[in-house]
Amino acid sequence: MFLIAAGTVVMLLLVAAIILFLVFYQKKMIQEQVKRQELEIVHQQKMMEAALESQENERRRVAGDLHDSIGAMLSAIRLGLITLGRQMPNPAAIDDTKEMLDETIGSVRRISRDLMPSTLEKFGLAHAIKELCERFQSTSQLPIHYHEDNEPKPIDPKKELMIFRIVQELLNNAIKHAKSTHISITLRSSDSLQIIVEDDGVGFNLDEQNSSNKIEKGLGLFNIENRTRLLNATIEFDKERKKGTRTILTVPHEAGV
Amino acid sequence: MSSKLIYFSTYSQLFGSFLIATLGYFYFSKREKPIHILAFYGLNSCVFQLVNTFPPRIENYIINNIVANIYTITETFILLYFFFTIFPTAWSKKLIIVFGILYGIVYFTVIPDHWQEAIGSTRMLRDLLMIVCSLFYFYFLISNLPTTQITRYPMFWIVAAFIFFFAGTFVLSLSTDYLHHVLKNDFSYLWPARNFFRFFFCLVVSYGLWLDLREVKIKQSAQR
Repeated sequence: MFLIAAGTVVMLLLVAAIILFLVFYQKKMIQEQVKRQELEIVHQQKMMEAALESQENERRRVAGDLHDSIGAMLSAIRLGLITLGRQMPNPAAIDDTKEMLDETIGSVRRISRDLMPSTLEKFGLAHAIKELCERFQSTSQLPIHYHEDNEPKPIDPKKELMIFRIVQELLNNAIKHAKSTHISITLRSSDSLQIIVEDDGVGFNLDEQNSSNKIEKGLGLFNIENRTRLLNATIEFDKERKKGTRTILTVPHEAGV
Repeated sequence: MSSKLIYFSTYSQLFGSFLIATLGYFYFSKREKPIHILAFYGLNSCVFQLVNTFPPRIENYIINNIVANIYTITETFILLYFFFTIFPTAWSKKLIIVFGILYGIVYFTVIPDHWQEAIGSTRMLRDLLMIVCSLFYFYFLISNLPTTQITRYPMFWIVAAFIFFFAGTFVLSLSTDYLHHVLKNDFSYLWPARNFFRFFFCLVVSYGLWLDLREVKIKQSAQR
């Protein structure tokens, strides 16, 4: 009888060990899988950050070259042209050329500013967005209203640049694709920084855009999503609107803002 | 040991089998084949236990042994078929068929001359086959681990109950012949322990069936 009891206990202990091993082994495996996934996400974020940073560095370099080299050369040409005009019997003959040169100088300055907004570095996000609205308004002839509820809190320059790029892309989209007649931008700063971009254009189908691949989706929306992810922010496209688009970018302050 | 305890333990395991059958038959059409087999297994156990526990018969060991011997082969084949449906590979399914044939040969070699006796070898072989099948199932589970918690898997609990119960009764089955010779009719007094153990086994299987039932209900409400 003792042998039977002992044998039964041994068998039961063996089985219990097998079952416990299985449960703990699986738990450990799940933990490792979660860790691996987290590492992959971190790695992907770092890659994205590096790609965007190199993009910004390249923009800064091109903007610097345009401003310091081509801009300076064009200014020198303009001075030469004015001097040449004074020596000519009919100075009005070069007025058209001078005008074209002025436009070219203006374009170079605008492109240089778009590539690397100096206002952002000098005066911060709110001023940079305001200036962006003014520039877009003057070039597109569309009324762009800028409204600021309260002064945003100081932001890490890297994040500030990312937010600025998102707003820039949203404005670009509203002007180029939405066929809107009025655009407004609102900046709100409370627990989080909220930027609302609204237009009265044709709007767009977000579901259609999301189902398409990167090329079809357009690099603009793809970059907006990437930057939003890096900012740990959220972006909402109001789908309930009957006309136009309303985009809300919410950046939490703990994300370095 | 009083006969009251024998009755109580027998009715406990009868209740356990009834619980398995009931939980298996809820939402029957929405459940998968292994659950259908388990529901049938519960029903089969209920029928045999009712025949065996009918008050005038419970202490008639000759009839009890005949019923138990028939039950052993039905239980083995039902559970082998259950494992056949949950095993994922072709070779493992073939292995189950081999197990079935092997068991059939042993059973019909041993039993025909000893219908009225409690035969240990057939029960021991049944327990062994169930342990091996359960181990194989765990092997398949470990080689293709699910991403969700294993304890949320109905089959994990069901097979764990199988391996626990059959491993627990294996030594008893192994020594049935010896005990029968030594203890004669007093041997039946060992049965309450086994019956209570089987009641516990039924509860764990029922828990697995309840988990499965919950999943079915969730799926159904999601479809609506």
